Amino acid sequence: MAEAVLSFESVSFAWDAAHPLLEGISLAIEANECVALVGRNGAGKSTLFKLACGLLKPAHGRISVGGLDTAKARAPQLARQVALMFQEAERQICHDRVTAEVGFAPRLTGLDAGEVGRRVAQALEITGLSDQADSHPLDLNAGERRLLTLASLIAQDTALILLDEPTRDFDAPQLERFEKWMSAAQREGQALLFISHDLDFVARHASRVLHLSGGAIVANGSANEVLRHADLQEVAAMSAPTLPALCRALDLPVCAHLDAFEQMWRERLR
Amino acid sequence: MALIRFEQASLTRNGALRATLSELTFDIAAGETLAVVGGSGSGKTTLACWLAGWVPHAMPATVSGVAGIDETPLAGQSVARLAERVQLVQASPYAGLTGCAFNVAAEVAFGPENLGLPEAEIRRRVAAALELCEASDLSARRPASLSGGEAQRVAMAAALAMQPQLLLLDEAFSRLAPAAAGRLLARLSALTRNGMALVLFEKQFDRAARAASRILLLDDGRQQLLDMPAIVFDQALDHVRASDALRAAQRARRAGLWRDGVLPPLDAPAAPARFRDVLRG
Repeated sequence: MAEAVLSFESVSFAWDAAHPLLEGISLAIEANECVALVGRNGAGKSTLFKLACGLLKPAHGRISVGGLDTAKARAPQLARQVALMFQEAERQICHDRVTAEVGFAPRLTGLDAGEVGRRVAQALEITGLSDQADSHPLDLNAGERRLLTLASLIAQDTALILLDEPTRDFDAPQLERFEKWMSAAQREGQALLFISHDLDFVARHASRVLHLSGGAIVANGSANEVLRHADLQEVAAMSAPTLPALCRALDLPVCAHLDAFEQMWRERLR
Repeated sequence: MALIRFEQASLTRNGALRATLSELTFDIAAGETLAVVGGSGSGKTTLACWLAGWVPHAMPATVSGVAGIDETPLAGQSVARLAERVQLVQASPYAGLTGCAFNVAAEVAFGPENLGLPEAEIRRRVAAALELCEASDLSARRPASLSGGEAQRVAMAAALAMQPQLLLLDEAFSRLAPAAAGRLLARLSALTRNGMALVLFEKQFDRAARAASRILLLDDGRQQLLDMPAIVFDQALDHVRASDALRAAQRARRAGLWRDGVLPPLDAPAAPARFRDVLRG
């Protein structure tokens, strides 16, 4: 078994000691994995992410990232192992030019200007922001601003990437670009852990889904098993993810990808 | 008579070289739900702010054409007076919080207090709005401690406590878990039966189509289409998000794997029946 890039051992956390938010959480994420974290509003998903990257320290238990104990490691050490996309893009942007923003983490790690420039250019290429290199981040539209935070994570180049509701601001073409990056990052061995309420998106990408509820991980398994929980469903009439549900309703083999569905539908019509 | 009337209405932000919104023509009647959909940067938020009366004080811009509420131009109205009739919930819920309330109940009471309403009426409105948004158990929380989804419920409750004639929701469901978003949208639709007009600014087609009788598709600040959801379907899905079940229908229609006369599904639960209609012929 590959070594975990992230592990929680019996982790508890409370904003208010009388009402612990997370209790006795244990989990492990390995390289190459793409794992979704789902749950209701206020379940503690974003708090779990802040614990995972060391922005918060656990009240009890141990969290390790790339072999570092987050309670003891210094921030610069942790930043070489793990990157976080915040739920609100505006809360992590701290420079007034796109290139300066994307180059922020590589500069701090002490890379020379040539290497920083190379990483920035590559990250902007992948995110489609090359033409906006000199723009002010707040002049970008919401989807582009989210892609900018992605470019920063790409340039940071860590083994583990945490994405807190990454797709919310994207329109259809931007989502397609983002999903292409996700697949490529996974192929290159990066571990991805993401929070999402879009269950179709979860089904397309997650190799494993964790359901956080009542301070604990209540389910850990494939998207098809975990997502059926009533707490996660929008309408009772059809369970999400919607493509497998459509397949079942039409007596087609269950799939989670549109290309496969189109092929089956074409054959069905013959 | 229409509550909102736009005719050849254009808006150019100060300093911009070309119009952000061009020649929009639509109206909104009391009790109607309109969805404005479009991709990132298509002008949805600018239109939402214009309808909320931000031009020119909070959004410096020049406008042309007709853009009015009850036949009075929107531009130049007093924001405080307009807030009695029009409420906007923005995409970032934190933008809708005052920052000067110690708890959620006080936050939601802020608007009604400024109307000078009697205390009992304020309490009644706050309780009703929090309940509708499933936020009653948040009422003693500090606003700064709310999660994204919780803050979104509170921002929505604060707008509803004003009992607006026109409620503008700019991607205001984006942080809610799907189950909560569905319930909340159904309750807002019930309020429109009492005359409130609702405008949803959305990048999510399923939600727009479920609630709205008409959809306005924006692309690059221009009005591409204004029609029933089934008519707008194919073109809109090129720009905005949709569930995979709807996306599958759009691809089938594009690939000639559909049947003339069978309408596209407007939300995922409707998809199996539509696909079966195609098979049946």
